[in-house]
Amino acid sequence: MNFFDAFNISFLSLRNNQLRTALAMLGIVIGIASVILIISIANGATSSITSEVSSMGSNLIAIMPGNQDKGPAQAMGATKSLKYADALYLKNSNDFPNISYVAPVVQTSTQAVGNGEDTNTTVMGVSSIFFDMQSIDIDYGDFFSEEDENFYSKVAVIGPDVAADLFGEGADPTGQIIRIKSQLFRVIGITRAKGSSSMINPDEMVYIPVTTAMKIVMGQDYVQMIQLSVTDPNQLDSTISEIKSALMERHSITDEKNIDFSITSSKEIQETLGNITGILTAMLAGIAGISLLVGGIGVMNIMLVSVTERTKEIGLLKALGARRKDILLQFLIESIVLTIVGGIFGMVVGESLSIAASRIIDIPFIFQAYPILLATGVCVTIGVFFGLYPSQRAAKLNPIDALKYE
Amino acid sequence: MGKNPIISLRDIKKDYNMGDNSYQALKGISFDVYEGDFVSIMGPSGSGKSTLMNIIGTLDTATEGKYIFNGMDITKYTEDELAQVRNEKIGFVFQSFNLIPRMDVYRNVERPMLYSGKISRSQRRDRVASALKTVSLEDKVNNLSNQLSGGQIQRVAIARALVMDPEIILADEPTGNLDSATSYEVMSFFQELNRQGKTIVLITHEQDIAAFGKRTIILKDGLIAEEK
Ligand SMILES: Nc1ncnc2c1ncn2[C@@H]1O[C@H](COP(=O)(O)OP(=O)(O)O)[C@@H](O)[C@H]1O
Ligand SMILES: [Mg+2]
Repeated sequence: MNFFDAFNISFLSLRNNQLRTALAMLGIVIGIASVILIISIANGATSSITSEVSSMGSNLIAIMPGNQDKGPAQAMGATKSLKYADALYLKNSNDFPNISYVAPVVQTSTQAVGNGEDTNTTVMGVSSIFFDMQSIDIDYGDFFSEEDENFYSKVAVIGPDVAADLFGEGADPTGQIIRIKSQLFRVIGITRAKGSSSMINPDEMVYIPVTTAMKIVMGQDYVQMIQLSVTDPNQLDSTISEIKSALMERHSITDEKNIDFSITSSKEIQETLGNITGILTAMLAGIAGISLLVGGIGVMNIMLVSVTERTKEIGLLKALGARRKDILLQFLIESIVLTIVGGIFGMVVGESLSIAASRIIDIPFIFQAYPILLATGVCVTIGVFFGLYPSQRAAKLNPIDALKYE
Repeated sequence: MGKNPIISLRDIKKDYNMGDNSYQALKGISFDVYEGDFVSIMGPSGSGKSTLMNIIGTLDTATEGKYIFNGMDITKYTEDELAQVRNEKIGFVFQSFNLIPRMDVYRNVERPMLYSGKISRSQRRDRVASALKTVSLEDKVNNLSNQLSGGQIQRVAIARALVMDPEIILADEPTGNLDSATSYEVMSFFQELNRQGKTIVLITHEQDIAAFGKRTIILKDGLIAEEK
């Protein structure tokens, strides 16, 4: 029997046994749909995380006080080991040609009072260059300048949420006075709303010059972070190791184990996040794969039932001259057609659910061909793999036993 | 009748093994069937008729004895070679379960030609049409088996048995499920086919059905009791 005729027979047999066919397909539909859905959600989540992270640029380095290997208390920035002087050194030394900007950062959580209202906020002492490095835009007024830094100016750039809390929604509070820790600051600018990213909400910040923050507001000589940007991201790693050895020398540390600061780069964070999301995707895909396996076993079950149910039919076909391979081919094609048609339904269901899910949990829907190709390949494999055993059972039936089967 | 036997059975024995016990259903059967013959094999239930027909039809093998089919010693044939013999040289009509379920008449009659693999689509269409014409069922070509009467189902089976133009038609109680009027109608088709030269071996336990044949072999307890 040629392939076309075998296909025809198999197709008719499936079409004429709709309930059995639908039941066998169900597992595959669910399996493929969940694979597509999971891969699509994972991809959407990954891309929204990576786009957030990559918006910070791949040329940033952050130095934090404390040793990350020595437990969370230090890693959180609770130590005082990173000095403002370290930042000035990195900025003014000629040893680091790849460093373009240096921005020391201090921060504290406190209240801001103004216009008779108060609000909880995070006060960040930053350099004027910080706004550029973090791609912060201004809606009203202006940022403070390097001059404000040099003269310890008591000026503040506030986030739109702070502005709304103190001065009302949509007002332009430039020129108004706010009070932070009993010091009066003149508001000179309002940042553009960015919306909350993962942990920090830039809209709830009050930015003041880092010098003012250290000397007048907090009275400290250490910083919580030094942000740096480099000119050539390709030399990021060597720049980091240069900074590391220079700071070790400044802190009189000879043993790497006693290091009292840690350096991370945005590239590193991106890579770590990439790894995490990759592992997550693989895990979810594994779970979906198990549901596919269950679907495949379902197909095998139904095929085995079908072979038993059709024993007499197989006997008749053998009397009519069907050879082993004719029977094998017919059942195998039935199984493959089952899984492929089930797979197509599964893809349609999966893509539809993916679109719905991306709307609900607000991640981008990214249509990709590879899960579909993957699913198609998986379906054919499942069809062959789980169809082979029942088909062989059918093909090997002794014609006389089959005909006599009751 | 031709000179060479299509079927030549010599001392055929068949044992059925059931655990430790063994039951001999055929105890030494010998006879020949020549081209153009119409042999009725009669006997009471359990006398070994179906066992004998399954051996003749190469669906089963004898435990002992010699069986020459159409000049070929088929005892040494592989399963696939036997399938080809059944496909090209033997047409079967059974008592029941004759039609492939949920397939229409056309696809049932066409099926042996698909297994042959040598017959084009248009030839198949012509042959199905002419086989159905032989049994006067041209108008049922697109019916499913559940839309046919018992007599019509047996006639479709006859058409399918004819479609490969086999050497012989084997029918095992083809009228066993039919009333006598319908039985005679079905038998008249067998008789007409034999008149046109087809060799037929018919199994029945009814005297009046056996009478449609040219000669009758009567089985009893696995042996030939009488030939007439
Ligand atoms: N597969 C089998 N196993 C054991 N005994 C069998 C088998 N098939 C048939 N028999 C026995 O062989 C005898 C002949 O059976 P069968 O050829 O079907 O007779 P008939 O067709 O004349 O009624 C019966 O006694 C039956 O019980
Ligand atoms: Mg019988």
